[in-house]
Amino acid sequence: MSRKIVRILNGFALQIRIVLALADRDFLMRAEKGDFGVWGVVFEPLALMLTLLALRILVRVKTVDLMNPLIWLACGITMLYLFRKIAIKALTGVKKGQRMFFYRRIRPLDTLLASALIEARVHASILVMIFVSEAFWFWRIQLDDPGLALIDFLVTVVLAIGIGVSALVIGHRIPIVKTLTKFGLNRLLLWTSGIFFATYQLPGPLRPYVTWNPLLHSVEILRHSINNAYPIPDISLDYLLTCAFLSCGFGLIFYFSNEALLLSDD
Amino acid sequence: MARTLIEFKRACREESVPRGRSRCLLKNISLSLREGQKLGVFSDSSKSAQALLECASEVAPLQSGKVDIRANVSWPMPSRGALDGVLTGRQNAKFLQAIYGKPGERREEIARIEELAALETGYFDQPVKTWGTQMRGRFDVALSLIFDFDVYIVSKKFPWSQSSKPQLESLVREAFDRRVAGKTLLLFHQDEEFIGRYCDEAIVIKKGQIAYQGDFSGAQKWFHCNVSKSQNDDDVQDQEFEDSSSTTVEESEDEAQLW
Repeated sequence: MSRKIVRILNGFALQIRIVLALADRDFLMRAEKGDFGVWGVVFEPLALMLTLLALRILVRVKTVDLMNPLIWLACGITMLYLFRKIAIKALTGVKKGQRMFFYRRIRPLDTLLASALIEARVHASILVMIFVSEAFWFWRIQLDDPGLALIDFLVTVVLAIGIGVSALVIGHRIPIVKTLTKFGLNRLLLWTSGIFFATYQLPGPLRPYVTWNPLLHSVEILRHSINNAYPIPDISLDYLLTCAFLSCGFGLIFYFSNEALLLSDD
Repeated sequence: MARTLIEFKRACREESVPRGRSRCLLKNISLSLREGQKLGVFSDSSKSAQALLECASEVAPLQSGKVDIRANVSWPMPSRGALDGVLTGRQNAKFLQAIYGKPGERREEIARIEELAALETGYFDQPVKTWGTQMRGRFDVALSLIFDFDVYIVSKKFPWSQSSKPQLESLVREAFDRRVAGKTLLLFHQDEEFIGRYCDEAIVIKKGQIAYQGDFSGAQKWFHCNVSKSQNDDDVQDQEFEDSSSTTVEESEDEAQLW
């Protein structure tokens, strides 16, 4: 029994080493291929987000009084990009990482976890940079519930991996699922995830049309964790957790029963 | 009784050839590789032997049948694998060390790779794409000989004899001896002396099937009596299917002088 536990722990430690090695390699590759080296890995998505933020602030987006509009928008845009990038990479990453499967110890799931880890690091750094810049500018720091912000961020990563892996495996059997998921991630989410509106400002009867989207819960909970006075009607962490663990659980079940198919077909 | 580490069960592998045709490389292969066994491979076609090695290390998929692998198996040594030319030798070495190396011996293993690859000064920290073909080849050999596997799969590209640099040749032979001592070995090489030195058993593959299995000298004799005379015809057939553009010096499948 104890030997079995040791073997499981060793296997787990090995997988962590593999995922970290793949993430480091991916990071170095991006740095070598980009124009600004290591900094470019963070600054390129940051520049894209800042452009979007500047545009929205210039056209005087309807925002809320409870938070700085920059932070309010940054929460939405960063979480959307984080979710989209992880989920899209999970959808397409197996094909791109095919070369790595030359080494028997590397499995498709490891490459997906590695790219999720990089995206999480990059987007967490962007959020921290924007938050620290705002704190210096106004010389005040407000982060009412850092624990909730961290949990929300991690659960969003789990949700993105779950949705991406589920769509990848189902999409292997039914290709239209891949196309629809890509459409959903690129178009539908932008307008239903609360990037440009606050849920409490929506009339009650309209809310069910957007609150099905777990990413809206993630964005609004992050804003609420920064300022606890920010109201979040019909938004709950329980719903986000349920969606994340259900999608991840189903994704992993689908993945393990179809791993060989993913390796041979692509 | 020794444990079975790799087991082929009615394994079939085909390769696509021009004009939409396919050719059978392995046909209904059933074979077990036990712990500590050292098995040499003789074959009428080097592609069939290479396919056997690739399937044993799970690098290539099968069309039908199954290969059960119950051990830590190497890639067909000394293949380049998935190393990236954009990264430096050190970065590539660090990556593979994290996956196959011992966690507490990172620095020592990377230093050993650098020593065994015998690169020119400063090249280890340059992108691999800037290296010459021979340097890359040496780096591949060094990477193959550093990590500990239960089963070593050795292909015909392995630079066993490097007559021009006897000192470096002995360095590689020493490292190889140390690695395979007490381990399981599956070896295919043009140099029969090399196979005979390490393998006490051998198989002969003829037209994709195992035609003979037994002790090394018996298999060698059988191969020379029944296969090697007709081998030239198969090699010509192999050549017909090969795309002439793919046989660059760098990707040549034969053993090359690396030092």
